[in-house]
Amino acid sequence: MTILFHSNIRHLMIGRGILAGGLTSASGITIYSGIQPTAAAIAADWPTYNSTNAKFLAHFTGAVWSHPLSGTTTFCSITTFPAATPADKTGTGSWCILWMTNPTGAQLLSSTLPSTQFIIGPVSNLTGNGIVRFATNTDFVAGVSRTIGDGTIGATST
Amino acid sequence: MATIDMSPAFGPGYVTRMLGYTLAANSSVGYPAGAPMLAPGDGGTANQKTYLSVMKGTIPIDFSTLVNSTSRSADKLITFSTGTDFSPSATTVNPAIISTNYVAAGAPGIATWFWIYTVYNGYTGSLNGLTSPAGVSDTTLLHQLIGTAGAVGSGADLEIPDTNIVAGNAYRILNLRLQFPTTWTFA
Repeated sequence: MTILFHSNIRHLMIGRGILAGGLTSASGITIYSGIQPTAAAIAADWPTYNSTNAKFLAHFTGAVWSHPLSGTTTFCSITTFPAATPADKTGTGSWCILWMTNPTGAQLLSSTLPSTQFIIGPVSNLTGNGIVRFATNTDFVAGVSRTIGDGTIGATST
Repeated sequence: MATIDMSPAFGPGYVTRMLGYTLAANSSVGYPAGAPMLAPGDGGTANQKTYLSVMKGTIPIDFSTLVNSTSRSADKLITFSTGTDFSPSATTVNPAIISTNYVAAGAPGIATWFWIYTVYNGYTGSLNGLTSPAGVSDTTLLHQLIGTAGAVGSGADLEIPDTNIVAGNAYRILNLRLQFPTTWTFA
């Protein structure tokens, strides 16, 4: 039998597991185009994913996430949004890196991974299932500013 | 299908924070999100507390009958508690490895399942930055998990050399592994 966890595990995963990893302080979000790789692939070969890569579209700084209603919800969300940020390159955003730190441009350009602590997930418009979503579409044009619409990570149980 | 994936280095810390064996409650959020699953439980009211009970009888199919820490009390054969018994555990890795010191069985019977449960540990009001909801007591449950117990080679979640538990004999948990996923796919 698979070990059975009470549904409160969802609150625990969101509160202590994910948020407490660094998302409750200013953190960075990097948007990419193309097929989402594994987190392990990024960790093993950061130079392929740094800001010189054509699929590196934009980077937002200063996002703060929180667990609404004193941790009684089964999701967390962005509550302090990054400022409107010009895109670095042109393309359609499809996935993102949620950093547990707030990497600088220099760190993202470097061949050294800015932080070993990160989560990756999908990006979408506001009707999609992205953990980070943008109004209307996820089209980025180099030099044109965009703002994040919302960011949510939820936990469900069966 | 979409995928959320944690970096390899994120996993151990994620498990450590959720189990929280050496950590206090997270005062930045409330219950149940802020209380760890394997709460340190110093035996007083300074922390939540966690128990692992080896049980006899029919294993529950869900948590509907496990309403507080006194549920199924008559079926408890051996009970380990944080604060004293879980020091051999390794909770900074994934899978976490739960091991305990020896504890005397309190009752005889055939072990069929086990229950890990975290309680508020006897206080109300505000402690460690977390304010208890109204109406909770030290038997109110925060987190729970249940699994099967069986003989070595049975494939049970917890394998025991002899499931016939004898009251007064000393038993310990050795290398119960809890693997937490770090990748999820969803529609």
